[in-house]
Amino acid sequence: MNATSATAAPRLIVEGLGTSFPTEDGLVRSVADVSFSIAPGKTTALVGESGSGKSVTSLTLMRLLPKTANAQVTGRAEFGTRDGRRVDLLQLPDAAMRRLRGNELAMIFQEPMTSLNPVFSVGEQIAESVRLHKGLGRAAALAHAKRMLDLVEIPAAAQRLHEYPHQLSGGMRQRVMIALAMACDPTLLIADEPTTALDVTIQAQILVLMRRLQAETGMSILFITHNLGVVAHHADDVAVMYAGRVVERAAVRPLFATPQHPYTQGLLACLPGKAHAAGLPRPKRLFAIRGQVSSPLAPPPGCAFEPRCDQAQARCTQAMPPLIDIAGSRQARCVLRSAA
Amino acid sequence: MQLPRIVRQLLHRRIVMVAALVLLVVVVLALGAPWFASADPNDTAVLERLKGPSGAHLMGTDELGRDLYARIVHGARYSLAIAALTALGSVIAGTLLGLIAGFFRRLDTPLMRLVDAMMSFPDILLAIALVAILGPSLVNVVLALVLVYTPRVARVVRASTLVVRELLFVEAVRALGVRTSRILWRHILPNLMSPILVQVSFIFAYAILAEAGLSFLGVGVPPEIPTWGTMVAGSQQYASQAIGVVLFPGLAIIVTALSLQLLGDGVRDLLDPKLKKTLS
Repeated sequence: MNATSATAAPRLIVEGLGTSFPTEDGLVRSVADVSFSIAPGKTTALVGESGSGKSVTSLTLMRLLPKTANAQVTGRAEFGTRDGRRVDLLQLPDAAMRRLRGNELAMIFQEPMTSLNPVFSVGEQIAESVRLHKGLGRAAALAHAKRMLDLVEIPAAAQRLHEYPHQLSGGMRQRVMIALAMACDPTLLIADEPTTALDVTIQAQILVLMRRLQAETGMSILFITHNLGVVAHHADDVAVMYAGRVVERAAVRPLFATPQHPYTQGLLACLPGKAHAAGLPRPKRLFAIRGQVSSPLAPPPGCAFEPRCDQAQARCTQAMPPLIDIAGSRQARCVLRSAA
Repeated sequence: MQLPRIVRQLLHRRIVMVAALVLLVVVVLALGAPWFASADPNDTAVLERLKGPSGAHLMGTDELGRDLYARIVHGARYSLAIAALTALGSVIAGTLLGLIAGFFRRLDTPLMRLVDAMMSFPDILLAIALVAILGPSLVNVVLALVLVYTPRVARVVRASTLVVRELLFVEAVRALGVRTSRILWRHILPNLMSPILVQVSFIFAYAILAEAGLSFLGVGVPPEIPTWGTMVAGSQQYASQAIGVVLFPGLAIIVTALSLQLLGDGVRDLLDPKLKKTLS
């Protein structure tokens, strides 16, 4: 939010990212034309409902899609490495990508209950990552693992180090996952719904922890979520996804104050209390966007949101609108918005 | 660190404990055979042939006057060694095969069809055919039995690998930059230890029976080597004159194989969380 970081080169620039999967019923375009960027030390949130392509986007960036899926990936993902080079994550050779993963690029997953190997102590699991990337010896790596557990505020870290995942609660496990991801001091953390499986009080603690770690290390975060409340509090920039495409990009405040795309408007209207806070009369019933997400096998000919849009016009069915630049360095994929 | 808890729970189950104790006795007897049975197992004394149990011959003598007790104790060495090598060999080969078939999906179909083909033969028939081709010797019996039991292990390991490879932690360690070979050995294999351990105990038991069967049918270990199987095979026609010649080696086979099965059952029950609940 300060001026200096805005001028620095973004840590990650994603342009025109597309991921398609060949299936028996034809090519499924899971993600298409996704573009966003993340500034150093900032958080960009990728928001959307289930199936909107958020997770596929993150797995594509990490190159973790299973080989058997035969995913066809297009676009560019330019990442600024620690030594000042800019590399395309989608083109990097496997070995080079492996050196980045867990080292400069880290990821935490939605399910802390199954994200840890049940037969190793948490200390061993954290130590493995630093031994792999930093070449530390066993003792030094374990000592580092203990410092990481301290960093993520796990009490009695020296003792927890030797415990197994089944001995820890969900919140504790997610802290261990964060410690694991942070072990090599990554510059970009991809958090795929890190708090969805946790209850609300633990959720808040984990989010505060992630923000503290970000302030201390200056890492960038790609935060993937469907929780708009979390976005409002923890993100700097937001990209809203619908049916595999980014439909709106803006800084967090303008997005919540004046949503431009009908889908974003609908999403915000779905939040209880949000309409009231915006000065509108409190609705008697909770708003719901009508209809369902179109099948990726049979997308509508025009705008993907057109069948559910209350503001749809005839031209909306003609072609998928591009992301249109609007005043205030923001973009929306809607023909109703005029270019800046 | 799971083991101490398992050992503790095993101690609470009497049948399993008895089985383990019996096995311990058998193993100790086999290892210390020269001390526990001073008579030479191959010393013949035609005048003493087909005698019943007595002070001089604890279990009597066979058709050549050889001391049955000495032959059983020394035979335990061969029978157990054959079984142990078979279990070890088939578990190593089967684990390798199952792990690769379960993890690399493209290799799954060719490998598993091969396994299916081998399993479509009855165990003992396949073993007989293999020994007949290779020629009867100690090493060839082990080799044949390893080939017979490898597909069994491969199937179990493949099934477990299919479950473990889908767990999120595999993706999580990949996200940490761990290479595939290391994921297989360091992360997936340790999670398969309980089904593999159970297979070891069952194959051990099967192998003792199979070796006895092969020797009985005359395609096993050469008759001059005292295994429990060769003892029954060599003396069966004298059973009506001195029942001991088949009774004692037969009992040794049954007791050892049964104990191994019971131990295997016990270990499986303890390692299977679903069964554990219904038991306790």
